[in-house]
Amino acid sequence: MTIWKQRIIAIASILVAAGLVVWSSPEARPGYEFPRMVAWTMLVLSAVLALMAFKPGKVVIPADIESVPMRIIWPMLVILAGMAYLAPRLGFLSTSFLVFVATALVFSPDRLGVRRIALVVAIAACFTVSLYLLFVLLLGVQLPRALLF
Amino acid sequence: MELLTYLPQVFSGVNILILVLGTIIGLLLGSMPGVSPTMAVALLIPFTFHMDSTAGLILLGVIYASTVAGGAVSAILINIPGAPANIATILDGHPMARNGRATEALHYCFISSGIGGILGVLVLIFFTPPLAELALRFGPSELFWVAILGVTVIGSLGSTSVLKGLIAGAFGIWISLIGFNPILGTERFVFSGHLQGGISIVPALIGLFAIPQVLYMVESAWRGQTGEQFQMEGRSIWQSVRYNLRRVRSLSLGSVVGAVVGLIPGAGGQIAGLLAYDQDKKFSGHPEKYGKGEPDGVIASESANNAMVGSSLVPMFSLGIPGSPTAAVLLGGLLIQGLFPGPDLFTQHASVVWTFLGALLCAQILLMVFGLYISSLSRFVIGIPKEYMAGAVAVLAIFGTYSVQHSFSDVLVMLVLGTGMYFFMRYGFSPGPVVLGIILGPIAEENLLQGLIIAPALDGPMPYFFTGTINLILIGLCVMSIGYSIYSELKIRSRRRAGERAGGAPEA
Amino acid sequence: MIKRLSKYLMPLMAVPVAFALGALGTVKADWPDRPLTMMIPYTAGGASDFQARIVTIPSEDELGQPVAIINRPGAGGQVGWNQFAAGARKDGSELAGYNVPHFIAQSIMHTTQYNKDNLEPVANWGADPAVLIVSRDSQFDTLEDLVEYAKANPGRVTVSGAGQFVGHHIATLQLERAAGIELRYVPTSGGVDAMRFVQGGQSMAGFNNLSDAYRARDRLKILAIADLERDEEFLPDVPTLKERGFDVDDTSVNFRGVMAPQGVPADRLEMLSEAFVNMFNDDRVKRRMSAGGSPLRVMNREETRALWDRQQQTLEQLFEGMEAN
Repeated sequence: MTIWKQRIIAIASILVAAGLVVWSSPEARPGYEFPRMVAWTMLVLSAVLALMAFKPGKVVIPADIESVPMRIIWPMLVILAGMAYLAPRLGFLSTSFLVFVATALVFSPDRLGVRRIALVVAIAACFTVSLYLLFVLLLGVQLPRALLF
Repeated sequence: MELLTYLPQVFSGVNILILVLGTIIGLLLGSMPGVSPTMAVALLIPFTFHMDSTAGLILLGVIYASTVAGGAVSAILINIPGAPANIATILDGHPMARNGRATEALHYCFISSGIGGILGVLVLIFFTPPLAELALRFGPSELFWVAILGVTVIGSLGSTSVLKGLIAGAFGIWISLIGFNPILGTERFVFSGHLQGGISIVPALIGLFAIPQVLYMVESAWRGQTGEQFQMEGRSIWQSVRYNLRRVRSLSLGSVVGAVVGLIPGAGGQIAGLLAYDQDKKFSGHPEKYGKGEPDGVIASESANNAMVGSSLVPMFSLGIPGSPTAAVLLGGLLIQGLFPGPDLFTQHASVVWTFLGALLCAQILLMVFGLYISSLSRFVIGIPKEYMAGAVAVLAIFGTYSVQHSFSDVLVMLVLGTGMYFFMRYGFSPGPVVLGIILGPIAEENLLQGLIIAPALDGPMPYFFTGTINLILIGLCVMSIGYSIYSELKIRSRRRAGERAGGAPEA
Repeated sequence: MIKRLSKYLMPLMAVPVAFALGALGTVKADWPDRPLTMMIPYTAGGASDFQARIVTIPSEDELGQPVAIINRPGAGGQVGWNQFAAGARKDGSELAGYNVPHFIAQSIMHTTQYNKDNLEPVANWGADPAVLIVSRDSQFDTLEDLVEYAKANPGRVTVSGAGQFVGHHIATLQLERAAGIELRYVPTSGGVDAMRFVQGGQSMAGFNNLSDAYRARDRLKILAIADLERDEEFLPDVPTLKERGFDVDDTSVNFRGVMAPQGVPADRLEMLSEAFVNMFNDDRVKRRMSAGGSPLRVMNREETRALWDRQQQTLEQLFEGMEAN
């Protein structure tokens, strides 16, 4: 099974590299020489990878492929996307608070109870305050102005 | 000896306070994922306006040295390098932590940092004039070869397949070229307004290492593994010191490579740790142990990146040419104080400069002491439940990325790269080569293009790039490095084949 | 239960509301109410960056708020200025540093999101002429040596500068035309790098900022200055290109100052202009600037506007028929 996955990766890698080669070769415009060189190098390397994966006979390829546990990690991807969307609109600090609370509650290995939630909220509040002290007060970072802080 | 004359000033009033506070704050800042030395120094510059020039300079220098050393803490404990300089540290530091040797790894890291750092400062004190001349000899052709030498290191960056490492490296170089052509100033590959600024190193570093780590953490939290709760062994500091001092090869190789690379103008400092790690692995009798928790790897990489700190200030003090991006920021702090680099800096402002050098030397010892103390506290960091850690790292990644340039586009680039990297990691690609590509791509392109502009005015591109002592040495090193990579890849393959023959049913 | 919950929630809600109201109140009463930002499109540690940091030191006295410097480097300033013109807040709290002729030249030669018309000048603080430098041990001792050599060996004299279409490049172009020679311009990523090329012998000569050359003067030979008059304060012995018979004017002089995006209310621009002019004339600023050989030239909003308009015209003429490629 893994050998097929390796072959798919090799093909995908060739396709990506070929795409980059095309993208780096616009007609009659200077300034693309080096990107083109790099893209060709990547294409050649990918071709060698494919050669190894499709070589007949006994294939010696490391088992370096794990399946993606989408079932588990999807809420985190949603949280990250939400963070990217909310941070400039709601404010950095309030978004951080929400992200921390959401991550800690969604992935909590224990059962959720009132005490657990209160604890998480308290920790998140402390964390947000220390972020404010460190980045805004000590380092003087100008966070973008938004709805809340 | 001027150093001794001015040493008492280091311990007077404000200076010693700043020295101690700066070291502690720097270590803490550096150990936070997402906070890079360049950003910390840049953001602390306004503080120096309210200080006299000696105190201001001490603050910046000490923060520089201690954030670089502190970056190893997050590298070892949570597999996220604090700065490009610490990438090599994770290769063996984190496996050591997983094997239950986190305290030991941190001990080696701070002892080697201190020793390397002292060597770097001594280089700065005693050899500044001749080495500054050497630094000036690095022109476009030499820097191009330095970048190529950096690329050849990918082979030992610990991905299971060298080929995949190289592909990832090429991809990293290519995406680093998004934005503007460095010579013509024309725009290219910008398909979204957010990419206009290109992909800069610190956001890429944070994204590629921190975001996959966040996803791994929530996975293990969900599975109810309250951490791969690796046990923290009790380890006496003296035991570590004794062991560390016996690793003469790694220590000296690391310090010397770090000091030399630090001299090279531009971004050289960022690859000091990697080059030292690579060399140490090649000279080692048992290279196959590297990447699985070999103390020598940590020692070489950490001694190198702190030796780099002192020597990156060599060309800056005498010529105004910074040896690393952080040194460039430090230069700005120097100029604001009315201290202008040049040979007369050491005579006209002798008191300021020598007090600063004395302070930098003391800072190395202080950061070794505080660092060793912090090492013993690290079990609390490891004890933090994964779901809290994941949230905190995600938020710090955003703050750290935003603070570099006050740019939200950087944050988006960071998140996209990081999420993509998580999936690629599952298919056998590792983030190290990509970051290395992003660091080296712009250096290689800019110097290649400049070389091609200069060459026709001399004897043409071939003699320009392929003659000259430094060029030839660098080309020799590249060839050796590539040759060694191929040799070791073949050796590993034949060993695996032999293993399969002996073990019966192959597992592919 | 709900009652109890709302008892806790009400004060929590009240805090942001109170903050928001407070913020609204102060915006009108006295502005600025929080630190201003000033974006510098070059790396920290470069000349534009450290001068910006010096000239804004007195801002708390003049504006009541500090000015935070933000670096957004890339492509000779294009990255930062593009983002600034496209996305800066129009209430006057987000400012940027400008370099003329750089940004005007780029807006002519490249497709940029900025040009002199969608930006508002606030005040000018410095004028840094380009000077022609060679390294200490160079074969050239005078400007004439260099021109003669270039005549005999067309395209063999390399000249470094801080990038494409910046003052140094323009000075090179002007000298080429005035002397009828062919030079080979090597763009680098900034003034510091261009200086390194000259000192290390990677390029035979270079145009660089007067301030940087002044500080490195014992490692260089400064052959000429590309301005209308000699610089009496820092380099009284260095001749202008003009007095040596090469018709090069002050187009390449690097003017540095503060600008705002288009759309900021006029009264705020006036107020900022006044405050910044006062800042630039502050004694602390004068002392620190002169220690580094950085010439001050303070201009208010009107004078700066006139400068921009003049430069736009000259540069359009200079670049006529040139390809940006």
